[in-house]
Amino acid sequence: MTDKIMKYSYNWLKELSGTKKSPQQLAELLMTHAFEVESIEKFQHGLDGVVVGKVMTLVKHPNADKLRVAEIEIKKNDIRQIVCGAPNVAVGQKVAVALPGVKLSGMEIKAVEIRGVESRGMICSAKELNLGDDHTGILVLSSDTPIGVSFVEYFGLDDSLMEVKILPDRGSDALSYQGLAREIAALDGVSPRFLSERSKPIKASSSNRASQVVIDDKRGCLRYVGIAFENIAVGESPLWLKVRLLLSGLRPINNIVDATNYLMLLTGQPMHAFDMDQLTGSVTIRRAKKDERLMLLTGETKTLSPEDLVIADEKGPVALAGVMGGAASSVTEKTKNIFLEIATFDATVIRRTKTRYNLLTDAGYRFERGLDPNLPGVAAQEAASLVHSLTGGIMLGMRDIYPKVAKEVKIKLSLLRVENVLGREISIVEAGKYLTLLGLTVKKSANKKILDVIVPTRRPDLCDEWDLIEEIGRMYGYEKIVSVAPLLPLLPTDENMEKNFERRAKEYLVHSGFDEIMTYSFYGEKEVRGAFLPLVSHLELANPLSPDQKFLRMTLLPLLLQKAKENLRSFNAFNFFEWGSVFVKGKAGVPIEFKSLGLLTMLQEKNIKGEAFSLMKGRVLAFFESLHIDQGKISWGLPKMFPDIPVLGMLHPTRSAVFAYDGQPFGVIGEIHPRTLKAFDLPPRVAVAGFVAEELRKLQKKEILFTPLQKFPFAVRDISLTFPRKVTVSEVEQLLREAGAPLLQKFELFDIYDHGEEKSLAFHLFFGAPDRTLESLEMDTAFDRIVALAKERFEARLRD
Amino acid sequence: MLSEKIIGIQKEGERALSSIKTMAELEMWEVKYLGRKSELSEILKGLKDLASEEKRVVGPLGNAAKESLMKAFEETKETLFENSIDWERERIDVTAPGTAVPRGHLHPITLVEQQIEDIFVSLGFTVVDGPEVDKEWYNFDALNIPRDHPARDMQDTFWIKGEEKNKDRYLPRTHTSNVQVRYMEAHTPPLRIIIPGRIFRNEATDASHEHTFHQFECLMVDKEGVVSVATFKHIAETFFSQFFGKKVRIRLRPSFFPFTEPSFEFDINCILCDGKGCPVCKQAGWLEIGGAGMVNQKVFEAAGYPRGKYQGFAWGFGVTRLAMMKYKITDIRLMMSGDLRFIRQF
Repeated sequence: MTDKIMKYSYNWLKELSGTKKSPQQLAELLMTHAFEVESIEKFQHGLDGVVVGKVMTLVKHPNADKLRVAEIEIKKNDIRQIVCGAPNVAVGQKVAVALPGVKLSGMEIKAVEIRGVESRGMICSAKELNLGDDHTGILVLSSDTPIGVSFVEYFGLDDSLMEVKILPDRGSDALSYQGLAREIAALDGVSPRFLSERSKPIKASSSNRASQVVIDDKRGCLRYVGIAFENIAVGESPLWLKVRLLLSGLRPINNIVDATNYLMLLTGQPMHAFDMDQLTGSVTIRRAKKDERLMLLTGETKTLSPEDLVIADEKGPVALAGVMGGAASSVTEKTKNIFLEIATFDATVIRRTKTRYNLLTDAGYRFERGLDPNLPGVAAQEAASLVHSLTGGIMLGMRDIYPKVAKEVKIKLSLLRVENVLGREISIVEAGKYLTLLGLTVKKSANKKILDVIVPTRRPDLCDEWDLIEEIGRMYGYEKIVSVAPLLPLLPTDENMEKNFERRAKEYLVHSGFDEIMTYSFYGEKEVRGAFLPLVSHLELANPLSPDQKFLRMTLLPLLLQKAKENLRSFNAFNFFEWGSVFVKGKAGVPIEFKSLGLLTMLQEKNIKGEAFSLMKGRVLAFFESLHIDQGKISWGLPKMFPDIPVLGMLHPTRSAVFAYDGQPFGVIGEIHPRTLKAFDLPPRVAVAGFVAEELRKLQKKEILFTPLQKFPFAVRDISLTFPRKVTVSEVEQLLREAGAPLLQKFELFDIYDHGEEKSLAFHLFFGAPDRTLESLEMDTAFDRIVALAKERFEARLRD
Repeated sequence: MLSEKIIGIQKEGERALSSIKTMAELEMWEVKYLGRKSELSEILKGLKDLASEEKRVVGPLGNAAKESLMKAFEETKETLFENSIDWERERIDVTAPGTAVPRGHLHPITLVEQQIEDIFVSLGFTVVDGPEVDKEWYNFDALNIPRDHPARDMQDTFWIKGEEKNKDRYLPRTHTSNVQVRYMEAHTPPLRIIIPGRIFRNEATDASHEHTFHQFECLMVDKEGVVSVATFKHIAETFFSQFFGKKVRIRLRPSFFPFTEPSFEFDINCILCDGKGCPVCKQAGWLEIGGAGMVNQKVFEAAGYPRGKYQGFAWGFGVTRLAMMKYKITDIRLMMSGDLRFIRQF
């Protein structure tokens, strides 16, 4: 979750909301009913013991040209002598004094003698107080500051900072002090204090001398208020303003920038100040033209996209709307006249631009959440009076272009629905009370179970009944909703055949000695190349975490081989499996996804050719038997018959096989190709098998039927035949079935003997009939038929 | 007279038996005292010729003597057999390990997933599966998370490189909620399903973060008025109490998810300290477990349901997290490590 975590000053919230709760109580209240408070911490001002004093007298230091000796009154009849080097110190000033014993930035102030004159303390600069960068002179406090008060207390630095996670849908109102104060007051059951202390409306000047504003793109810009001021004095902000910003985690810059930041914190409305003398002609809000360029405040120059919304003058773009201002029109120390922008931009347009240039600004963050187009009107009043009082600037005029006034939303709320959703009856009075506290207008309608609710435009997150139910639910308190067991008809659940099969298969594999592992669904080009897989069949991530996790696995086997290598560090032999989804790029890049099962066996040591294969094959057959897979339907194909199976590229060409059902392949088994062994740095005592899980499941016998036990004993004869080497066991088995029918009931291979170009296979043959004991002659005939067919088909002979 | 003789035979037999040392001697003794031609057998055979009064005395006495000798014989035979074996030569070291039988281990995530499934199935839920790589629509838009909406920032997303011809964008799902609308398109309420599965987030890994982990989704929908927030609380409490084997309390806090309205975060009281406060719950007494809420009507509409007709809850939580809690696993990366030293502990 990337909810915006905003730092709030407890004191400021308290002042605006009128709450009497402690920071901890407030955090608990917010968490239960509105927002999670991530942390509460005391503001680390480091200024304990600093007091306000008054410079009574000032004389030159007898022994140093640049120093002066001041007498400071820090309490009635308590005057201290302090040596000071600041050029701006003057008689009558109120100053911040650190007396001996106070620690500033880890350094203890001591009573000392400076060139023969005693100095008992220090008059502090803004920098020494961590309240700004200015260290050229002492910080001069306003003349009405009382003597002797604690600096920390008087300037509100004794504060707690609350990190509040504002939910993504509350960007319009709660990412501001007024918004959160409104929420707190509602939870306290009262109206917020700040509403009763609204600033006065600004006086409209008789002649409006502000630049003309034209909204060219009405979709991108919903409202634009511009206020022009002349003769402003750019300088430091007063202490109270700096303190407000510092407590909210913002750095004071100058009175203009600080004012816009302060107003954004207070109201939630981002603002931007232009140096009016750098603007030519009227101000237009439009989309950027192709290849237009803009140098941003950060100094970076961007070539703009025609999708970007810009603020432009007659010469070109001066700001990336709602995201960041341009460097050329920015406010500097030399600025005399400003044009203050207070606008509402479309959330999607701003989001696209901020994402395109990866510009994370406080303004962009608010705009992309969608702001209230009625907010600039209110914010402009605050701005006009604040800018005037901070800078002495005179308002030249104001433009307010608001093409389509945002209307309040009306919602009919059914109390029955409230009860249905919450599972708890809420009375009409109670529901009405909660919504009213949140600033909504509630009217009773003719139907006593329906409320007509009007939602102010600052709450665009409230659009339907369910949104209101949430407001009622959280105001009421979810902890008060008692859990209720549902009364439902007793119905059997639908069995998930695939999941059940997966569970059975996993359980068998575990019982037979395989450990279950899980690996990532991604691998890199190294694995693709090492396993000789076709790169083009892979789905690829557009934004992988790293190149070695770029491709979606099309088979489990490469990572099983990788894990085999890693496990060889701790174990000599092991068996493991993975059951997971694999992905192949289908037509037009559409993903094909299916569940796959991969098995791997690592032998202790390998003594016999094909031992790894043989062991894996035995395990696979036992696995089939345990799952009641109809083995009669499975055929074993040689790899060369299936040139289209990509995983065969990593298998040993003459020690691997394909499982097929009705000619359709559904799995492979084999030892590993020497080139892949090399790529994965593995010894040749490893074998793998892989299956399409769903195909395996379908091969299960539908039902298991009993076969009567054989009544008459089998007669057993052994046969040993010599074949050319290329003849396979499976071909010979097929021959036995054909030639031995109907009396040959089963057979067992008990010996394979390779000798040069030939090999001998020896079988136990079990003859029998359901209704009688066989005559010796009958068996002889069947036996001879087998020998004859073997000779005819494979030029085989009875072994000498 | 006959009685005294029987007693005499018995005494003599018992005495003879006590000095026997070998099986051969025992066999000879058997012939002499219990054989068909033994003195005692002869006496018993002659019983029929005796006067009935004498028969009544001699008969039981004779039979008792025979039984007693037989019993003594069996005991001696047993003892002789026991003594004939040299037990010390037979001795093995029973503390040596047994012959190894290969035994595998299920992955801890599978174990926990199975436990979760079993609890929900017992509550009448169906286990449902869905694709791990899905269309943008099912993962986002259908869940009321449109393109260009900041809610997309709530989950760091991997994207599949697309082809020009294909207008759908695909992604490895960022949550199991992608199955919600897929399932609802094909089914009409009432429905009770759970969706376990692997999900993906584009974020760097460390001991507590993984780009690949397992989640669990629970969706219960019925006609309006059947499934409420109160129902959710009940199902969640029941599930966690079953899972941890003790009474667990649920706490709901307001939250925001685009696909639910109302939405909440839900906490359970810390199962280690029972809510008293401990390092695991950071002294809070509560553990954050997951998100939940009443399904947003816009999601129902995306699935083709009429607005306002149905009502239900959806909740999701991390199976990986639950497994880590259950087994006190301290590094999430072990889950996907394939390291058998880890797997073999479960």
